[in-house]
Order: sequence, then C-alpha cells, then structure tokens
Amino acid sequence: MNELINIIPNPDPLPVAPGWFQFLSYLTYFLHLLAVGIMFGTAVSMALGYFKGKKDDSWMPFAGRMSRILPFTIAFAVNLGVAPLLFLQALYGNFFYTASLLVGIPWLLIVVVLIIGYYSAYWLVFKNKDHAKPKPWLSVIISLILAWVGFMLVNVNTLMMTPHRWKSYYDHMNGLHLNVSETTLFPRYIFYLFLFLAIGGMFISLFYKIKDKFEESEKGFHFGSALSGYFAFLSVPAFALFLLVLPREINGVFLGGNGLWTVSALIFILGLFVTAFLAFKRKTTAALHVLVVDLIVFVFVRAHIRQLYLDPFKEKFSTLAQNTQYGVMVLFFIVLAAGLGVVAWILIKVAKEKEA
Amino acid sequence: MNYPVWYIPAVGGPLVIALMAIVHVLVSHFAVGGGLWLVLTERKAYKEKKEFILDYVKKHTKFFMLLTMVFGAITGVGIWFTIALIHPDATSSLIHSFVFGWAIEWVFFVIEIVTAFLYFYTFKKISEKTHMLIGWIYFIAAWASLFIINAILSYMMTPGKWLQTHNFWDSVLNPTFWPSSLFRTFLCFALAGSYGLLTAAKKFKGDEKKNLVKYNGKWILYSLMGMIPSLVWYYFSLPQSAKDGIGSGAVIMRNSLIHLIAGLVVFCLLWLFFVLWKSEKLSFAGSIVVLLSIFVFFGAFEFIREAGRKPYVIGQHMYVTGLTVSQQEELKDKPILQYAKWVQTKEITPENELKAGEELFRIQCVSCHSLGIKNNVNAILAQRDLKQITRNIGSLRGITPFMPGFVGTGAEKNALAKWLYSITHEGMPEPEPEPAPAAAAPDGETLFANNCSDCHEITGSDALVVKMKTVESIDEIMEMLGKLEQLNEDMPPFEGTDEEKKALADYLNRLRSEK
Repeated sequence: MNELINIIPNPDPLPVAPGWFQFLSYLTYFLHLLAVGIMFGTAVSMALGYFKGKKDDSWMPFAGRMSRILPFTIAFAVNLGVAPLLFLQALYGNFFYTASLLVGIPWLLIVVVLIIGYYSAYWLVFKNKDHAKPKPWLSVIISLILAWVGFMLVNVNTLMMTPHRWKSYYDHMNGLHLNVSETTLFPRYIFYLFLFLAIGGMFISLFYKIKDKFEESEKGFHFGSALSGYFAFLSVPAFALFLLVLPREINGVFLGGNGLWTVSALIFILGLFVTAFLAFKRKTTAALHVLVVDLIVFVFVRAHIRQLYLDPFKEKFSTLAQNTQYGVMVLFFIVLAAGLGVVAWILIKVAKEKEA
Repeated sequence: MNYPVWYIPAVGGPLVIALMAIVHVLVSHFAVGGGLWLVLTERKAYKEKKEFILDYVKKHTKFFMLLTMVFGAITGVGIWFTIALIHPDATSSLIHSFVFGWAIEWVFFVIEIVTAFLYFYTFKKISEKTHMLIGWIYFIAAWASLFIINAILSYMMTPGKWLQTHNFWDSVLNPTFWPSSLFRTFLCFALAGSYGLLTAAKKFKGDEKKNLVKYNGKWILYSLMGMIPSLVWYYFSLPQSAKDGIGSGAVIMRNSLIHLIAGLVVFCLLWLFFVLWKSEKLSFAGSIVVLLSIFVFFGAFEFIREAGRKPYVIGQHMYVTGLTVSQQEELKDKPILQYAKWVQTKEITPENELKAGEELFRIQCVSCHSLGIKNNVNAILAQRDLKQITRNIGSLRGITPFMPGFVGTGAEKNALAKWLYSITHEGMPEPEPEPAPAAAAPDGETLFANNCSDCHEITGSDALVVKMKTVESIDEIMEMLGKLEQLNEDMPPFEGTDEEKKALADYLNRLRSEK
C-alpha cells in the first residue's frame, strides 16, 4: 500500500471545503448525465430511423427530426460536461491527470473524433436538408464516435480509481494504453450505454408528447417510449452485473453491508423497473418523474462507489488551502443565477414573440 | 516529477500543445470579434435599409455559430486535456487556484451557446430589436469568457503580487492583465474585420463591395488604434526577465519578432492600399493575404508570449519541468531520481546508467524538447562531444534564458549526458587515453574553447569580456576561476589542473590588458 501511496501525485490545496465541490460535482454531473443520455439516444434513434427509412419512407421525417435536434444535444452535452469535469479535477485532479496520462493518445483523439462527429451532425442538417436520402451509415459513425467518447471517459474513470494499475505506465509511456484488463470496465460501460438510451428514449417520447402535431409525432412518441422502456429494463441486469464485478469490499456495501447504500441501490433498481413499466404503458410524464428521481439516487450511488475505491488513498486527497476563496465562490453563484436568469428571460421573450 | 510523463520523444509535447492551441486561440478570438461584428453589421443593415447586408450577416452567423460551437468548444476542451497531459503539475495548480474563475467562465459559455443558437435560428423571424438584443448578449458572454481566460493566461506570465499573497484577486489583477485584455479585445475586432473584408471581396461587386470593404476597413482601423498602443503597454508591463528573454537574440525569438513586425506592417500596408485607396480593387486573393498577415502577427505574438514566459510555466512560481521555484532551489544538487515519483532507476550503476539518463531526459527535458519534430536536441548535440554535452547540462541557464537549470547530482548529470551522447552519436565514445607525461604546456585559448565557449565569446558585449575589463590582476582572475559556481549558479566549477587554470587565467588576463 505504501508503495502505491508513494506514486500518487501530491495534490494541490482546495480553495473551499471539499463538500462544496462534492455538491457542485453531483449537481452538474446529474445535468450532464441527462444531456448525454439525450444526445446519445437522439443519435442512435436517428441512425435507427434512417435504417428503417430505407425500407419505409414514413420513418424519414422522424430520422430528419432527430438529425435536426442532434447538434443542440451535442452542444449541451459537451457544455454540461465541462463543469463536472472541473469540479472532479478540483477534488481528485492528482488521480484524474495520472489516469488520463496513461491513455494519452486515445484520450486526445476524443477531440479529433468529436469534431468530426459534431461537424457530421451539422452536415446532416445543412446539406441533407430535405432528408430525401437516408444516411444510415453516417448516423452510425456519429453514434459510434459519441460512444467512443463515453468509452474513453469510462477508461479514465476506472483507471483513476485503481492506482494499482498505474504501473502499466512503464509499458506504455506513450499513452497507448486502454484499461481493458479492468474487470469492471465493460459492465460499467454497457450499463451506461443502456442507461443513456433509456434517458434518450424518454426525451424523445416527451418531445413528441409536447410536439404532437408533426406528421411523425405518433410514430416518434411510440418509438421513444419503447426505447426508454426496453433500455430502462435492460439497465437493471447491466447495473446488477456492474455491482457484482466490483471488488468484494466495495460491492458488499451495496449488497447488505450498509443499510443506507443497500436501500439506495435497491431504490435505483426498482426505479428502473418502474420507469420501464410506465414507459411501456406510455405514461411518459410519470415515467419521467420516476427516472429523474432515480438518476439523482444513481448520482449518489456512483459517487459513493468512487469514494469507496479512493478511501484507502485518503492521505492524497486535497485539503483546504490557507487562502480560501469563499468570496469568489459566492460570486460564481451570483453569476450562475444571473446567467440562468438571462437565458430564461431571453428564451421566454423569444417564445412570446414567436407566439405573437 | 510528481506525475508520470507522457513520453513520445519523436513528437514532443510542445508540438501537440501548439497544434491544439493555434486552432483554439484563433477560433476563440474570432468568436469574440465575430459577436460584435454580427450585431453591429446587423444594425448597419437596418439603419441603411439594405437587404444585401442583412443576408451577408446571416451567412456569417452560420459560420460563426459552427466555428464557436464545434471548433471553439471542442478545441477548448482539447487545450484543457492537452495541457493536463504535458504539464499536469501546472494544470493542477491552475485548476485549484482558478476553479471558480473557470466555473464563472463556464456560465458565460452556457449563455454563449444558447444565444448563438437563438441568434441563428431566429434570424428574420423575430423583431429586429429582440434579435439584436440576443446578439449583444452573445457578444458580452463571449467577451466575458475571453476576459476570464485572459486573466489566467496573463497570470501565468506575470503572477505579480500573488507570489507573496496567494490571493485570488491578486492573481487576476496581475501586472499584464489590463494591457493584455485590451490587446486581445482589439485583436478580436481586427480578426473579425479582416474576415469581413475577405467575404466582402468574395461575394460582392461594385458599390455593394465598396460599401462593405469601407465598413470592414473601419473595423480594422479602430482595432489597430487600440491594438498597437495596448501591445506597447503590454510589453512595458512585462517583468525584466521576460523582456530579457524577448531581447535575448535567440534565433527562435528573433524569427518570431520578425514575423510579428512583418505581419503587422503587411497588414497595415494592405489596409492602407485596399481600404483607403483602391477599395474596388480588393480581390479575394488580396483579402486572404490581409487575413494571413494578421494571423502571422497573432501567431508570432502568442509564440513570443509563450517563449518569453520560459523557463517558467507559471511565472516565477513553477518551472516547465513541474518543479516550483522553491523545489528547484531545494533539490538543485540532490539526487533527483530518488525524489521523482515516476522513474524506475533510483540508484545509478554502470549497468543502468543509460537507462537512468533516459529517465532524466524524460522528467527534465521532454516538456519542451523532443528527439524529432519540434525543439529537438539531436541536431545540436550531434555536433558536440560528451564533455561538451556534460558541460552544457551543467550550465543550461547560461546557455539560454529559456531553460531551467539541471536538477540532480553530478552522477545524474553524467548519466543524462551519456544517454544524450549515445542517441545523437553512434554508440559511446572511446575512453580518453591517459595524457602523456611530457605533454605540451596547456594552451589558454584551447582551454577557453573547451570550458567557456559554450556560453561566452570574445566580443565586447559578452559578460565575461565586460567583467575582465573590471578586474585588477591575474590573481583576481585565478581566484574567480576557483569559485565560478559561486559567481553564477549556472556556471559549473572549473575542473582542470592548477597548471590549466593558470594557462586559462593568462589567456583571460590578455583580454583584460586589452582594455
């Protein structure tokens, strides 16, 4: 253990108490989770829509609508990913940077492939305006790119929690390393993909529930509900598998070792079942409420899993700096409130004008 | 030393940072200038009641939206990832110092995204007043992002009072914050005006073209009126060490200064020719040259800023190696391999000496140097023998103001030298034969060439020659040769025999007597 502690880089001090960063990272990660789910669900639905559109033209308006929504969803998924990553780096930067160094090349490739995927999404909107021709393969490529970004994030996240794997650095100093030997990697990744598709499907069904006058509204609503239902249901065994492959001292906490966390994990699983049931019953609003609460529970469960992984290395956690920055944090909250206020105000103003 | 090093010696970290930074810095400045350009050009269209100007703005809106959303946003994240790979210590330090600065910047990023979408998708669909209001909000948010990032960038160059207080506001309001903010703001407008010039030249003819060329010309004129004085102010706000680095005469710095001045001169001349005199003659090719000249100017500025900051990654606080100034001082002659967390060779033996050398290269050199494309050491070292390489490593600060001194013991220095020699020459040198007992008397000039000429030359302005003109006797020179490392921490001690020291002193004394 001492040898492991020795190789963990020394942390920098925190400008405010760690609890604030935990709160901010949970809050923004929850928003990011929703945004990524919507983005990935939209991309996959677009691809499926185009494939179906090859045989049945009635799917083309649906695929076209998804392709028009996709660039917005990428913009917000990226944007909402910045904040949790920032707060994560404040808390666990020394673990995170080391992990990203080990996978340096594929990690940086995210930037290149995401630009390609993002531009391709815009290309579908601006160059394929009438959606006369299905673009299934380009849609698949965009979806794969987005899935790749998720895969890399799971790589870094699992690596940062397992310093005993860092010695592989000496075999891959160029950063051409993937954490594929980590048992939890694929169960965790597959669980996330399923959860994202459940969130994305929920978004699509909600979208068409509100926008029910489009020619494809009914089709889209049913598609979204089914996608959400199936993948919320599939997320249950995926999550169970993910829990089971965790190290015994960690999964034990969620499997009876600790009452609160066992109940939390059960609530999450139950929530997924209820979401799936309500989605299959086309009760979108109720399903949405359950899913949102369920995701909040999941954010805490996920954070606790990381906490349990990192607890043995507590002495390498950041401590509070001598020069604190509570005033700057208050300024951030003021700017955040004002910024969200401005956004809401301008959105309402535009909506009113368009209505008029 | 705290983190593992991302080690791709054939490429080197600086090249990766440069590629990512060039794209992001250009795009982000474009996005800010473009924000104001869009809203003011839209106002012009309404004021002059000219539909073609409105259409012209709409096309630019799409361009700026794609540029900001895709390239701006993703390469922004890319820069973050890249610096964390190349300079993890500095990134960690910056994140912990500026976490709420970045968080505030993120809020402006949210506003930027929402308003960029709204501005594009509501064009001609809502009232002129509301549409322009959205444009103003977009511009203010984009500029606020620049304002905050500029605080961090200028802090890295000139941390100012923060070095003593470690106070957030002292780091933000650092000595170059205001001039740098002003300079970058006007630069953003110059870029937007130059791009407007390019599209005006490409899309229009006759009076329409003349109207838009004159209009974009005014953008450039006002930008230059703010940009040049703020650049001068920026220069005078720099600490003396950075000014010394810029004026050091180093080839890379000289070339960058030439690019900076040439870019600006060409930009101004083309502006005078096309905008003031022959606006109807501005061709698409001509407008590309205008745009390229401002790119060259901007690129050179950024390069000089980056290089001027060296050997620090955070001015006077942290070196490019990741060691803070106090750590560097503390570890100067200590065994660095034992201190570094991410090396396998802790003790040097004859068997592992070369491996230790490579590890030392990895932890102390690759944050700036490569063995391949950019800033490679091969070409220079291939012309030097082992003794010279060893001496160079011991006096890095003396060779160039851009490098931190070597940290480590004599054995570590020798290991690094041997490894560098082995990769830049074919194998290791034959051991030197024992000198013949009746060797010729040592020659002062040769001793100077072997021991001093890497850093000194016999010209009037050289520090050594200047010093020689102030000493009173050969005894004083002998005394100085005996304590070189005390006179200047970057000078290695003279390791020759007494006889050689005397011969070198005689040679230097001749310089003295020439005063």
